[in-house]
Amino acid sequence: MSVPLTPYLGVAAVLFAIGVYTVIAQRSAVMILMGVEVLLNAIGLNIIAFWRFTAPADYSAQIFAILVITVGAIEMAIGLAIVMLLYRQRQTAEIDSYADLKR
Amino acid sequence: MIQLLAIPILPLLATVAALGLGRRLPWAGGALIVAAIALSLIGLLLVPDGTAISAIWFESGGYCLTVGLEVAPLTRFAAIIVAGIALGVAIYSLGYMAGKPNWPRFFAELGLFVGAMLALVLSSSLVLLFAAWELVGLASYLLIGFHHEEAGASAAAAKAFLMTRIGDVGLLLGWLLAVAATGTTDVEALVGAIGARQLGPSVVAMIAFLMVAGVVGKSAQLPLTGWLPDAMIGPTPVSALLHSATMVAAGAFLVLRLYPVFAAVPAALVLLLWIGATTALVAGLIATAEMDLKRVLAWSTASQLGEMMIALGLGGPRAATFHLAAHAAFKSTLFLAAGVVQEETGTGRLDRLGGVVRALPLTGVIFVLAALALAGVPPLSGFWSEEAILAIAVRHGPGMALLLVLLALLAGIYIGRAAAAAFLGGPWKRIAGKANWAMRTGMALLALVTAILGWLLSDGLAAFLPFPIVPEPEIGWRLCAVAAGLIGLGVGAGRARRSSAPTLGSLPAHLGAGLMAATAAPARWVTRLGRHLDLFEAGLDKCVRGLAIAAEALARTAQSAERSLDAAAGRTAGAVWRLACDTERAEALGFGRGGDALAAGIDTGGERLRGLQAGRLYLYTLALFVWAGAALVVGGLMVWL
Amino acid sequence: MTAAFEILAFAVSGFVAIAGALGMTTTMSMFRSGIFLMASFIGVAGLFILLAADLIGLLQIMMYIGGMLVMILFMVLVMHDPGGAMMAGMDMAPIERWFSAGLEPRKPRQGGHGDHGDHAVQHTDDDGHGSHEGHGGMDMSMVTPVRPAAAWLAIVVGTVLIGMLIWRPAWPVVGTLPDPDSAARVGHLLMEKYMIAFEGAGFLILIGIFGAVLLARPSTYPDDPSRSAKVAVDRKPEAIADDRIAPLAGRDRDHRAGDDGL
Repeated sequence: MSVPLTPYLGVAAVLFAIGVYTVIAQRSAVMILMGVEVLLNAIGLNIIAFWRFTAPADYSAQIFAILVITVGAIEMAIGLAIVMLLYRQRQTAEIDSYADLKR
Repeated sequence: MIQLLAIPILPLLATVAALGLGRRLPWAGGALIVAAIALSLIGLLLVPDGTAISAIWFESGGYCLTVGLEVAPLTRFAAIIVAGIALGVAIYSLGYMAGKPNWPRFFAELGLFVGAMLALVLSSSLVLLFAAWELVGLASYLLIGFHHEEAGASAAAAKAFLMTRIGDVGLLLGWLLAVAATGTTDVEALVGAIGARQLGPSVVAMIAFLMVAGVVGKSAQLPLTGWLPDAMIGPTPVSALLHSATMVAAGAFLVLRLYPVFAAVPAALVLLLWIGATTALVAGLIATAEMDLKRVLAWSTASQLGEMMIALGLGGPRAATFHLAAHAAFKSTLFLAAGVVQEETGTGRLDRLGGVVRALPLTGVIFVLAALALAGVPPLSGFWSEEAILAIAVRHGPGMALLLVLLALLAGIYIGRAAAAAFLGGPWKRIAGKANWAMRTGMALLALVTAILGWLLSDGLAAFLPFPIVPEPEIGWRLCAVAAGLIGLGVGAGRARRSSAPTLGSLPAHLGAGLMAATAAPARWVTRLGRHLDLFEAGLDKCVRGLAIAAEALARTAQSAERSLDAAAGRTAGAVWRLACDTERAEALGFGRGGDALAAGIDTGGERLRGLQAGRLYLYTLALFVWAGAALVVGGLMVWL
Repeated sequence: MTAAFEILAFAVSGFVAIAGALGMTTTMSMFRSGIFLMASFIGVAGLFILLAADLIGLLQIMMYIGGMLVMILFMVLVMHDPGGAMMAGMDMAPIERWFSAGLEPRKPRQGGHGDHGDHAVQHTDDDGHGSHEGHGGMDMSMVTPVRPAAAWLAIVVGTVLIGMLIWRPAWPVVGTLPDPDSAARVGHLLMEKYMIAFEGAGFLILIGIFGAVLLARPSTYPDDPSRSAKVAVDRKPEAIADDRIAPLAGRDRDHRAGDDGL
């Protein structure tokens, strides 16, 4: 264990920040979904890092990670399907075009 | 019809001609006038009896004003007298006025008078009668004032005009009342209505008394006598025609024309009787004391007119008519002779004249002839008429008969005095020689009429007039009257041969002066009253003015008060209005704008909130992360603290 | 494993994860974004393996790279301007310019890509459509108007998190090593303790697959003509109004109509 816990958490924090930036700053729905994946990755990394350094005997953390990955996959699938549908109707994937309810 | 219409029109046409181109006509239009009068006279003689012409002037309401001429026995008789006397006087005037200044005007005015007088006597309409009456008065005024440059002429003209006007007012009211009563101005209608007793007695009495006033004024009866002697300042032919023969007789003619009216009112006849008696007596007395020949004749005229009034008052219109005609003839003859005397000698004063008969024998003879007629000496005209009046008086009673005898005596005295003083005595040397054939012709013509009129009247005219014939008086009274006239003549002539002083002493002179003063005094009083009334009126005016000023000031005060009240009300209203406006503004600001602001705030808040819900996914995510970060920070701080 | 190797592996994996994520979010090309995201996943998977979670690392690679990333790339290719050619000429931050290096700028409406010819028409249609909707041809940016705020927020988040890590470095670290055969332990847990969650996740996946397929199925959404056709089919037939019987007088007809109604 030559690498302590903090660097892992630091990497996860940077990933999280980048995910936040991506989710907010990107216009395309696909890119937002990618940002969400980055956020989920950061969370998963956090979970696994804490598991490894504080409770290596309890494997529930890996279950959580698996669930996170699973839900992320489903979210990606559903999200991409919706985006596809919207794109087919609106001919655009930019989320600020989907403002019908405002009007 | 045309003849009838032409009778009064011809002299008037001649008047117009004389006025227009009198200076180019022979005798300055005088010949035209003479011709016109002669034609009128011929027309009068030729027009058949009963000819009448009448027209409706206008109708107003229930009143019908007619104008018309009528030839009845009375009117024809009077018109013939007028035209005859006028013809003689006009011929006389041709010589009298020859060469004098303004003689075309004289003839024009003479023609005017003759036309108007003929219209007066021929009129069958009260309104035409009155108009002619006033025209005659106007002609009298103009002719009296013909020598207006002489002192007193215009004053005498004004005096005559005004005094007759006093009577004319009575006549005017009288005929207006008659018109009001009968609805027409027709004389026959009025007479017929009175005969049928359609009018109330008081109305008839009022008409009669009012007309008596007109008669008194025109005929120079007693209260209004004073103008007649003064009128003698006019030319002598004027005196002969207007102020002895015709115009002054118009009063008597009016009574004759409307005799049924007066006959229906005995009191009016009694009044006429006493007025006439007083006037005859007083004027006769004054005539004995008058020093001017023409004025003697003027007073005599008043006296003789009084006799006519006596006859009328006693119920003898026929006698009055006789006397009217006879008096017209002899008095105009006397005047014409006096005019000759005045022209030849240059004076009319009895105390300066004397012996003129040797210089003017024809004139003297004519004057004496007429004087005898005036004194009632048979067989001249005056005798017959005075006989008729005497007969009436005798029937009435011996008192009246005695009065008439006395009057005959007075007439003899004053005319005898005048004749003797003027013609007898020492010879008159200085003769101007102005008398010419025209004057002599006219004078002689009238003298002839004077001489023969009595026969004409007593015989030919007996059935001519519509009045009842009165039997002749007893021989005793006739003798008395003739004797009285002769005695008077003798007394007057005898006294006058010695002195031209008043025959009956100075009493009649004082009486005359008193009468004139009594006539003048009311005028002065009236003038003074007028002045006082003027002052009173001025005072009244001032009072009313003051009242008006006070009322105006009051009104102004009231107005200003009202204005101030108005202004106060306006201010109050304005204040209320402003208050209401402020209230409304406050309401609008407080509630309205407050509500608006609240609504606007809610609206903008809603807009802002709506902006939050902008459908911008990135805003949602940003807000989410900011909130999450803030919650973490706060939570961390809370845990740490 | 030696410590040096471990540190080196951590550095490489962490760098790849962070640089991949950074590249993903900054490049102008969506296609490059997908590739950078794949790199980031691989880096994170390497970190998982370094943390002795082999199963999770493998799952990461299989699920994300083998499944989701393919899906993402497929989507990206369907989108317009996946290569970021139109964005390449725009004003960019240095890091963006660096990650977008090599992109050839291309003006919009200049024709389709050579290898994506069937999308060219769609591409021009998109432009017209976009301009028609008010976005305008100029608003082709990949980023939202709040990108500076997002950047600052990200920096703050990262700084705060790292600051907190540095401020409190000590953790209750357990020195024991996990079981290298972790997959069996995880499988037991899934089938025993977390079976409900596992089954729920599986069911969720099933539902998600169904939903995605249903959503993405073409022409299931009824367009207007087809809908009106269906409405016309479902409409009841009209009553026969024009019968040949002559109309009778009003009351009689009304009675008859009433009788008929009865």
